[in-house]
Amino acid sequence: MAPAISIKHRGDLLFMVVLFLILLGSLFALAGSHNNIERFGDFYIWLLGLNAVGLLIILGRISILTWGLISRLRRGVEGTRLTLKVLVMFILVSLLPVAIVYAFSQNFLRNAIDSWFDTPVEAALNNALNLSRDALNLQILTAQRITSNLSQSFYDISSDAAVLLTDELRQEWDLLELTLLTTGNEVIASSTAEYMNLKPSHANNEGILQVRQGVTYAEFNIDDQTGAHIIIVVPVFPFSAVTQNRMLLAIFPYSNRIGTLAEDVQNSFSGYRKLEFLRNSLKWTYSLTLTLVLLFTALMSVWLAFYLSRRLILPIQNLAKGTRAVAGGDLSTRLPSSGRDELSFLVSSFNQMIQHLATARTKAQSDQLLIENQRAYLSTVLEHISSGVIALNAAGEVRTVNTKAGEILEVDTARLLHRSLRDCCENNPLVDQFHSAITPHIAKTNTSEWHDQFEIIDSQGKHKLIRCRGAQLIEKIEVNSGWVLVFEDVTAMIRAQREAAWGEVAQRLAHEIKNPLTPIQLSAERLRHKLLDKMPPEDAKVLERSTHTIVQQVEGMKSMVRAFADYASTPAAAFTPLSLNQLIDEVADLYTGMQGILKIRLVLTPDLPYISADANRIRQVLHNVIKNALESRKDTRREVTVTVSTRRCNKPSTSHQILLTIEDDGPGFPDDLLDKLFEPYVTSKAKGSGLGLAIVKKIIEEHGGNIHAYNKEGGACLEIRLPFVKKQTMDLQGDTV
Amino acid sequence: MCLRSRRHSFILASCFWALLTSPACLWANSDIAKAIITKAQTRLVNDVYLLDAITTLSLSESMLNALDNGISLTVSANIKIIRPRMLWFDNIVKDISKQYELKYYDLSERYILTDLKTGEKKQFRTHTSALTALGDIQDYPLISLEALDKNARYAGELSYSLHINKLPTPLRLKAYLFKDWHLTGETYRWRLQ
Repeated sequence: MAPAISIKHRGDLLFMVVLFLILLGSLFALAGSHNNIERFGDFYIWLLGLNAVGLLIILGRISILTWGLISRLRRGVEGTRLTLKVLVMFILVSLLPVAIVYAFSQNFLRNAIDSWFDTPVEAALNNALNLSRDALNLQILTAQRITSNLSQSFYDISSDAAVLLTDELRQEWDLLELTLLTTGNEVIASSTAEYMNLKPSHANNEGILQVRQGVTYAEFNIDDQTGAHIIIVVPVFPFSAVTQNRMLLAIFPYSNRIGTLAEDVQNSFSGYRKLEFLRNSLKWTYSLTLTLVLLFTALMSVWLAFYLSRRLILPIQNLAKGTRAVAGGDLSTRLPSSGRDELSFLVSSFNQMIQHLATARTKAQSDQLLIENQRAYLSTVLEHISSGVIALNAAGEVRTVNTKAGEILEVDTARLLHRSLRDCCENNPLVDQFHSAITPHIAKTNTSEWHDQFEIIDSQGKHKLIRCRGAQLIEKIEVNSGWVLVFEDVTAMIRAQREAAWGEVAQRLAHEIKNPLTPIQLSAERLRHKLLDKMPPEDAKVLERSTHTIVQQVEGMKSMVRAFADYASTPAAAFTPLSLNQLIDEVADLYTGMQGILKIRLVLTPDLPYISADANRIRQVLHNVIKNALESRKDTRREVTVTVSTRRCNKPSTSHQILLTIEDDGPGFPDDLLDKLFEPYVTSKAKGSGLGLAIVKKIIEEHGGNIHAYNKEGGACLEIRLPFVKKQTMDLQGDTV
Repeated sequence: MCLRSRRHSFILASCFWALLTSPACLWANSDIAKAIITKAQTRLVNDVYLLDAITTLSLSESMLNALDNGISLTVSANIKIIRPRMLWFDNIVKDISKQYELKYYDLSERYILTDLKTGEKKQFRTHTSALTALGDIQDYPLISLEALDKNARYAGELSYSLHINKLPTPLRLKAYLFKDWHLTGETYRWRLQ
């Protein structure tokens, strides 16, 4: 942003101030030249020229400023109209009084000059002059008469006599000088007063001409040395044709007092006539000076109006520019502030406001960044926790939902967002069940937290045990802004807990039951050994049968205890990269040669990736499942066909897994046992321990997989998903080995 | 102010100034004051060049009117001794200005011609005789022969002018602007011999 007054404007101001001072001095000198001719008179024309040039410069400057203003007005530059208004206002305010003063001054000037000239005064001066002339003429006539009389004494006398006579007559008539001359203006004799110049006077040409024509010549003169005096030149008659003609020059003193008065009258009259002659010129000159002053004042006022309007509008223009910049988002704008007036205060306030806005925006950006970071952090946490999270607003619309919630409820989270849970129930049975389960809780207004555990049935008919906690979202004080629901599928966990409990029970059973079984068996065998030969045959037969039963049952119980022990104490698995297809082939080979009993059909997808598994445990899985298929047949004469297939999972969520499917063509699982097939001691067989599938599930889960059982048309089906090993990981493991 | 506008201002001012000062552009009245030099020559007397010149001077009506109304007119005879040069300005060896004041004396009804250098005054009944006396220069010593280069050629120049600056201030601008306040006449040039 430009400074309040640029260097250019300062230079302009300095130039105009200097010009103003020069022109002001020039105008003073011009005005003074009328009264003080000695000081300024010689420079009058130059002063006029200087003023004219100065005014032209100001006029040119104003023209440039006006043109600039018009250009800005045409371009629609902001603030120009306001500048124009202020300018016009300034000009009117300054020029109107000046114009009025000028008009009155002109009128006053002309009237004042006219008032100098008064007809009675002029007449009096004329009369005084005429009176002086008459007095002078009288004196001249007297002097002429005296000189004519004296001239008669000089006719035809010698030069020497003339010298004496001139001196005598001069003294007699108290003359300043008496000189006898030839008409050729040569001095014959002369006598002068003591204070006069010793050099005799000569007649001037006019006097000589007149004298030659026989006419007396008279001249009035005022001399610094002699004062006022009258010079009379008369011919000395009669003229002779033989001798050289003569003329007599006499200088008569003029009365000092009369002379002074006459001189005063002459000066006054001359001054008055001169003044009257110059009347119009005076008016014109004074008017010109006044007009120059007016033009100077007017032009300087106009320029000053431009300057002041510019200075006045500049902060407003800056404010407008600053506001536009701020509106455009530029908060780095700072307006130049100068002075202590209200505009400067406004500019200062604007700057402060921008500063605050910039600070606020920076803080807002910082806060927003922080919020975004927190949101990203929260989102990351939400996406990676094992619980489903759904946040509902007060209207029941989903504000936040994480991926796990979508997995649990088997719904695309994008379809839940910003929609009411109730609206999402259609076509989403799990959501519907979930909504039904939580509705009673979120409908309550007197609780801020709640928790519940409920079951929902998924699309495959499996029961999912959902543990859900709800908490009110309090965004404003004591206003319910919604609920946050944190829920998880605890089916596996509950099942694992149950299995752990079963394992504990099995271990205790094995421990508690196994110990007395051997003494019982030994005791039974000893009884048989000791008493069988000594007893009568019928009793021996009974004993034989009883001890046989005891031993058999004890064996049965022992095998059951071993099964329990195996279930409870599974040895640690040794995971190695393993080709599942190859393992399946090996196991299937073990069952060859069982035509009529079992037929294993393999549908294996080649080039499957390796899995990380304990070969023995996976082998046990396959044995258990195949054995289960064999044991499940009701008609022992029918051959059981077990189909084992492998393939890579297609779904994106399970694309890292291999699907192992084992189907049989038996009666399938009993419907009432489907939910708890993999729980211990769940069996439909009379002699089964109920641990086969439980162990299978346990092994699969140890390998990070999952197992799913269902009935298909004409048999049972088990789906086992096992994660495969990425090639890079496998290479690493291979190197380690 | 930009350079261009300054230049414009300068041009305008120059035009105005030229208009104000140039005699060629002045307003003209029908009657003008003239100084027609009919004769001007020098004589070498006692190694001093003496000037004899006769000029017919006539005043305009405005001047005569001003003269009769008590305004003094200051007229000067401008005499120059120059050494002409071929391709350059002439070298002015001596520049003399003989100034006379002509005024009308109401009391004696005479025109008084005063030599402002010597203070010598002469009275005349008419302005014509006063102007005749003003235009008559006889035996006026110009320059000594010693002051001149014997091998060089010299010339004399004579012209008459009215001193407007000596007029009363209110009259000056008018005198500058109007031609009838200018004493016109060609500069008379003669060879110094």
